[in-house]
Amino acid sequence: MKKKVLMLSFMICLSLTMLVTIHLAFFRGETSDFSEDKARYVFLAPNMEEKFWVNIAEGIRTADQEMGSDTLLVHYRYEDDLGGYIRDARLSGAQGIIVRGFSRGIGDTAKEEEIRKAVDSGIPVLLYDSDDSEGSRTAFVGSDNIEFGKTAARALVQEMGEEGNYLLIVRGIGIDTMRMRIDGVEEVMSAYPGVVLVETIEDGNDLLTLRQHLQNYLTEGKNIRGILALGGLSADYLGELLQNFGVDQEKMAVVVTDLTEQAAVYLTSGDYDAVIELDAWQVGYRSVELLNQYYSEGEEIASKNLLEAEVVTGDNLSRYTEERGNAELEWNSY
Amino acid sequence: MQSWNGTVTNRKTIDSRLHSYYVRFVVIGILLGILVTVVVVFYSLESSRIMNSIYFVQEFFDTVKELDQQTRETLLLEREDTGEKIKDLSDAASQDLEYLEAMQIKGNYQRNIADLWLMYRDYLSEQEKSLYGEVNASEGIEQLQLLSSCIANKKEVLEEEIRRYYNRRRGVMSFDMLVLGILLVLTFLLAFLLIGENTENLAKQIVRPVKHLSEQAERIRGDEIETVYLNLPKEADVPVEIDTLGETFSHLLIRIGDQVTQLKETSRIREELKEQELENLRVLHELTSSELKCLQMQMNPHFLFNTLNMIQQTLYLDQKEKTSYLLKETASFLRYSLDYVGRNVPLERELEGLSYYVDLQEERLGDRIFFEFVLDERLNNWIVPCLILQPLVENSIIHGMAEKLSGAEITIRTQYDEKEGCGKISIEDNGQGMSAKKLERLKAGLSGESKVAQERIGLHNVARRLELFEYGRAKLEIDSKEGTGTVVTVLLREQKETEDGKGTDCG
Repeated sequence: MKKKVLMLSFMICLSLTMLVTIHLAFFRGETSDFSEDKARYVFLAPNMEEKFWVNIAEGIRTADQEMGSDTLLVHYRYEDDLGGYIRDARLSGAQGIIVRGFSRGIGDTAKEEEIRKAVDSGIPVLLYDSDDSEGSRTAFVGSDNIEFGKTAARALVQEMGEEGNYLLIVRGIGIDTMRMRIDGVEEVMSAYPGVVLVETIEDGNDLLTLRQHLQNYLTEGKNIRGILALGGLSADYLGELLQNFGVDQEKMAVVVTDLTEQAAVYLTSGDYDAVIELDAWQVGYRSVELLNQYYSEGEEIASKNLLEAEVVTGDNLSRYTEERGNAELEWNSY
Repeated sequence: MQSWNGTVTNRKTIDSRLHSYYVRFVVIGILLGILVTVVVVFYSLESSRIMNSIYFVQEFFDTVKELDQQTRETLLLEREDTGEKIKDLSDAASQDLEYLEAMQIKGNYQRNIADLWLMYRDYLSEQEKSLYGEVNASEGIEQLQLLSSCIANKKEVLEEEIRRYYNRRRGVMSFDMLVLGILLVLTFLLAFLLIGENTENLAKQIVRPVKHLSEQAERIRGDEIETVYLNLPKEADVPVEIDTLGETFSHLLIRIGDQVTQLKETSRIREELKEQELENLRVLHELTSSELKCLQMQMNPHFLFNTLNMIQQTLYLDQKEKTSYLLKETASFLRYSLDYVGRNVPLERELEGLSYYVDLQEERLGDRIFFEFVLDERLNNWIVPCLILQPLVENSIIHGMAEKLSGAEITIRTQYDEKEGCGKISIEDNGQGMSAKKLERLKAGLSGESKVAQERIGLHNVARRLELFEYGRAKLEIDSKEGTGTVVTVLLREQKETEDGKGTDCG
């Protein structure tokens, strides 16, 4: 009996060893799903770690898997080199380029020039995040900032009620995106005369400035019942500031934009009542979808492809925080 | 096949078993060796493959850089001798790229290689156009520069991809190697256990029966051989040699047992025979002793009769002292005779006894006879049968001195013959002697060849007693010459006396 058990164990071990050895011996590398037949696109992003960019990349990867395309995820460190990356994408045979939009300014000529060359050579160039409608880009995929502002205002009214004072926090009134969002807010608030804007705070992306302004308004008996932050660093720090000032969460409606990780924490803790978020995953998915439709079905790509902003609360937060892509993101890093 | 111990076995020889075990071990060893070799080779190949890919990446981009340099020089300097070199560089770069393409790496690697191929082919196309004058040299150079710059940008990415691949593979391979190592160790361990098990089995198949044989052999050392039965454990797989050994041993045991039984029987019979013989000897001895005693008893009455007559005379003559003396001597002689009847005594004692007789004869015969004792003290402690000399002296008196009225001499002599290693006791007389014929007849009678004359019965008695004494260690010799005298000699072989000096009991 003992001998039989030993022999059986030995044969099993030997067989397993041989199998593993054969497997190792004949292993010739990893499996790649790349195919020459797939449409090849390039996605250019300045950041490959923040949630916003990761979500876009995940949307792109999902669309690739569903539609059979291949998008190269490229992370660049230097904004000034973006023109070169667009050129590289063109010369490497990319059939579509998805790049972040930029405001026209000094140094952007090279980028625009490369975009133009790409478009002229028949390569669609899609901008996301912000649009440059005057440039040569093929289309924009993102949100309408006015609609974005409107959604935010409605969310605030929903939380604080149709009566009360509120503060508006922006990065800078002069920034186009901010301006458009403010316009959207004003348009909605005009329908609620009982909701009074006390002050528009420009934090200039500076925490100290924000703190000082908040302290002034929250401690001087201004009876502030709502805070609407349309960008900047509010999403990450407003919650902490309000805790420091001892603001009663139950009596203060707080709506911010940009669902950062910290914002998600404050949303969960109840410091924030809502976060207005453009679903970045949809940006990526929609971009690839447009390109594939362009190549496979010959559909022209609309110049503006606007996605609706969504109101994220504690109830539906998980939909935005969970990983929505199962593909491993491999970045080309420059 | 049924073996000697009744079990049905599928027997093999020890050699065949060893051979089969050896084959198994060799096969296992070869298999494991192959596995280990494959693993080592694979690991080495994989490592070298990755190292080669890094090398080829560097090689490709260096070649492209050189190619670009050559192309620009050719275009700028309008050189015509660089065609071969440019072609070689192009081919080399293509080969490098092909090698890199053969690497199977997931993620962006294949995509980047594809992009690289496209750019490289575009480069070669532009290069051709420029070299063959299809496009303006400066435009060509500009485009080529653009493309080569684009190609160069891929280098960092590819190297990073390969590094990541290497790290992944290292992790996976480490895990695989760990698993494989554990499996190999387990396999080796189990192989050794199997080898040990097989060896143990083989040893048991050989050792256990041999041990049992040894134990049975130990029992044989005792007196149990007839009861030793070989009952080896009923191993179903006892080797042929062991089986043969057991069978042979068993047969041997049976045969030895039979022979031992026979020997024991023989020994018992011999023992009985020996006992019977001893009994016979004892009886013979007793008979001899009885005969001796009888022979001894034969002599005493004649002398006693004469002595009593003599005492009667002295008493009649009222010779009180003489009577007393005679009685005393007679008593001493009788005491000697009775005390030592059938026994052996030291010669000294025998001579002492004889002296009593001689004294009595001297008294009886007076001056007619003269007795002389010439003694060798070396024979004093020699053992002789009791009353061996008195009959001889009496015989001399009766037969030798009968016709002499005076001057009769009887010499009793003891002598040790060193040369022959024997003792001689001789009774010499100067009597009438006997003729040769008569002597011959006497000797024949004494030796049993003929009947002894009645008057010589004393001599015969002594001769017979000497024959019976120590189974022939003594004998009687007679020498006589008619008219001169007779010498009767008792010859004794050298012997030792008993501790009490009283001689040995013939019984």
